[in-house]
Amino acid sequence: MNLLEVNSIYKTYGAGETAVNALKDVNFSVAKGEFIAVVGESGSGKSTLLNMIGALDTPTSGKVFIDGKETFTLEDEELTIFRRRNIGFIFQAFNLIPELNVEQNITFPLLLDYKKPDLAYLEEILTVLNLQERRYHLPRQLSGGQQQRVAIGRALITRPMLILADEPTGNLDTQNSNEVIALLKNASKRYEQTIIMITHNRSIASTADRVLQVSDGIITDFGRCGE
Amino acid sequence: MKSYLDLIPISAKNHKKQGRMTLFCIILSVFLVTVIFGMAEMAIRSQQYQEIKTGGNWHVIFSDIDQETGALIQVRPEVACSSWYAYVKEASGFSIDGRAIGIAGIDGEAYASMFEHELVEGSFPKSYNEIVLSESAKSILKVKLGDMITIDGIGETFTISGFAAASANQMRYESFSVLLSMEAFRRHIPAEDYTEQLVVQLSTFCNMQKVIADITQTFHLNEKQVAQNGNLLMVLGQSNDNFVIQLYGCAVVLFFLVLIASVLMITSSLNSNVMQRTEFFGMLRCIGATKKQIMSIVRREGLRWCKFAIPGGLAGGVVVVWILCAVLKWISPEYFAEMPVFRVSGISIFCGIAVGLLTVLIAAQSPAKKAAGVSPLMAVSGNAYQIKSVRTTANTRFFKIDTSLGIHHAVSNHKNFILMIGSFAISIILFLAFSPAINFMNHAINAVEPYTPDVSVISKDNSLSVPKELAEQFGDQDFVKRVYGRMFAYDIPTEENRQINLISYEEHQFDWADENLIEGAVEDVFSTENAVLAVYNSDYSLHVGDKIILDANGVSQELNIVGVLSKSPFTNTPGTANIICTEDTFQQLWGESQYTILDLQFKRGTTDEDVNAIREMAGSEFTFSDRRQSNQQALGSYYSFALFVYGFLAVIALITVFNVINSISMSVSARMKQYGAMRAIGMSTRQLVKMVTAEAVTYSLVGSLAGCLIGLPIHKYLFEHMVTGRWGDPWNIPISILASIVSMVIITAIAAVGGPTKRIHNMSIIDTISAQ
Repeated sequence: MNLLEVNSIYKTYGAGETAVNALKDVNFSVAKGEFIAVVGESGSGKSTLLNMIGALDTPTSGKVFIDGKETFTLEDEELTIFRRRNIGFIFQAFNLIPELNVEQNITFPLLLDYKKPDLAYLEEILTVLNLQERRYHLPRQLSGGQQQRVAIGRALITRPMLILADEPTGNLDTQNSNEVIALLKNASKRYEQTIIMITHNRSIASTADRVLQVSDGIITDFGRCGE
Repeated sequence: MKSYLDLIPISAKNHKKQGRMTLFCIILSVFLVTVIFGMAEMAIRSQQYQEIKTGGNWHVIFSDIDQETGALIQVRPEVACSSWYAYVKEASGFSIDGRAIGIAGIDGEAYASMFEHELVEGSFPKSYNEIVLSESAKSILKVKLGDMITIDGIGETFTISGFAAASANQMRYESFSVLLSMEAFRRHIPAEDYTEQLVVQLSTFCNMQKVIADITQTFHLNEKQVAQNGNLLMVLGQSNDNFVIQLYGCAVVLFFLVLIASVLMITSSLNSNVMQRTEFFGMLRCIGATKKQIMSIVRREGLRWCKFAIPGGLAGGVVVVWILCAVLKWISPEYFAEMPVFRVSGISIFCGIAVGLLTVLIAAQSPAKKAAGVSPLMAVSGNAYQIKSVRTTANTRFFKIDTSLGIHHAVSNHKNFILMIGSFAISIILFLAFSPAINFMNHAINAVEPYTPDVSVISKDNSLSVPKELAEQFGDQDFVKRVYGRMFAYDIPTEENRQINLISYEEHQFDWADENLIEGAVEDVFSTENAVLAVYNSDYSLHVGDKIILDANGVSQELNIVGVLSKSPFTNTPGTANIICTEDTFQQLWGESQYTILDLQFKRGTTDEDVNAIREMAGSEFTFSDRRQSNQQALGSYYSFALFVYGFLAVIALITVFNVINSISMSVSARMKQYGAMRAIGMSTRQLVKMVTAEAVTYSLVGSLAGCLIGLPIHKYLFEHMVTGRWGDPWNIPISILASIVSMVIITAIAAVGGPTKRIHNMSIIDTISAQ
């Protein structure tokens, strides 16, 4: 069974003459453990697609199935808990909680579940992300690359089945970008997580298992890289 | 656009929500000031009017001065009007129809100026043989305008040229007085019977105390020669009474508290407004705006809001004052007959505008500096400002994540925290500061008790002579609400060599007495034989179960005490207990079934003709005491002051509620992006509500604590100056007032969370993240 099934998703903003069709009849599926790159020009609908998959926004029509569950039929509380435990988000603007330190930011999804983190796993994530010496630092005391690594750690802590990354390297320099991508790929392989990542960077896209192109709301599956 | 400042209205259109909140704060502040000053002016004007109506519009009387001194005083520029005045009392030997009368003399011009509302019919005497009588004389003497009457003691016949409004005492004690022109008074009254005084009305534009002091010094007068119209001078703000000056001081303190409340509310709002738009200011700085230009933008924005907020606040305040005036007129139409409903108070408009502009200019200073200090980097670093401003970590050890984040949101930014708790605390401080006015009012103004009659028919010699049939006749009249009588038997000796006064009550009076019951049960008087209530008397202590044995018409009777009252309408004589029984018990003991006094209460709308009809039914063998005027005066005074005090406390409470709701809403709006990110990561709505509630409770608890710590000493200071100094009541912590305002702040803060969080819940997560 595919981890993710997207069926006939439409998203329209506005109405009448000013209506904008951000997504038109999007259909695709993703297997477990795949690393998908989503490419497309600005305004093509990439972020909208990611928001639909992550249930951050509701489609005009269509369905999304994650691990067999139709997300848009879940009640708000149920959906929130599902997203918290099964989907990890990485934003371009990091969106760290300013008043929590690195360790707290990473374990934030667990704290929301009122759970204590697996300390060994937390140490592992901090080590993999090279944040051990920064664990008690606040976001304002970190560089952009370090903040994005914290965001990655937060996305990994609940061992979600799906990670959605919206231009995670958009605010980073080349070196940091390469490090972040490498981290994501490692984590994906290590923890068998499916990653869908939006990127403008063709070289980063070429490292993905599959590339989906979004153009004017229409998705084209370019298939596996190298095929 | 002609200048960079034209950006302000354009930017405002895109930030309508934040703008609305600041607008609301300014409207509230202006509304608060307009209502306070409008209500204060309304209360003072009604008191002024009442003082002038009852006591006349004169300010000082000089006595024991010669004509020359008087003439010199009269020509002073500060003297608006003056007249020689004289009065002989009722005991001076003058009478009409066997009724002793007082006679006064004054100049017609001065009378018209100083006692403008007194003449209700006819005109001031123009000749030596014309008089004005009190209006009460109409029903007592059965006379009308133009009738001739003889004043015994003068031995001449006079024509009634007019009737003057009777005083409350004259109505109550069925008496009247005579007014002559000063020339007629000098002609008819022997010079040795009186001393002339100079009654003076000063200009309202002068410092009256200074003028009086100057006159006293110039003409070497002593204290006894100078009598001021203290009540009128007090409401004119011209009193030199220490207590009154303390009251003025208290008013100044309260004014500044209101000003501080306004500044805090608006500063908090403007501060929050600026904090949410750091990227915008950073962008302006990136493009090339100088710090001065940024400050101008923030200040101009504030003033732009004033354009809409000040008229809004003024209009709201004026309408509220109109409503209160209408309420006063409805409560006591006779007392407030002259009060206009749709009057606009100039001083309240002026103060509302001044406070609105001043507070915005003062409040905008700090946020303007903050905005000017935003680095151009903010334009590119998104929420970097918020990140950079956080210096401590939220404590997730003792509380769950949502609660700890909420508390941290409240306390992390010290300046914002202080502003928020300040605006919460100021409501409590204002409430505590104004509440001593309730104690002051309850002491200074005597409200009418529920048992106070409008009219009483009283046996002239206090005997049991008022027939019961009269009570039934009165009760049959449509306009009579209630009739209740009392039988009195005075100074009855008891077996213990004591004395009692025995008084009968009927059912209404027993109901009223129940409020003062300190022992036993009132209803037991009806069920037990010879059962009575005793009124507490420190000299003759009686308790439930005690028995009083007395001789009633030669028969030994035993009275059983079934209840004790703390007080009654009757005077407590040392050594003589007031004992209250049913009418049946009284009849059984004394065999009498007539009343000593019959009291009547009328329905609203009862006319003078109705009351005269009652007087006719009563006849002339009883004293007819009309207490309506004195009741109206007491009610009117009480209500105008009570409406001001309670009305203002209600306004503070309302403003507290609005301010708390607005503050919480602003705080949530400021963190919209952050909440969106948290929701995206997996924070549920329930957790969001908990987080915002924790923030709101932190503000309200700390604000309440600060409010109590500052407000209680202010309450003590004002209480001791307004009440303790005058009536000796010791200051106590006002627990009930404190509990009510603090619980209102906390409950409102918790309830205020609902609206903003529901708004967030209804937005999609993406919209929340991209909200500005």
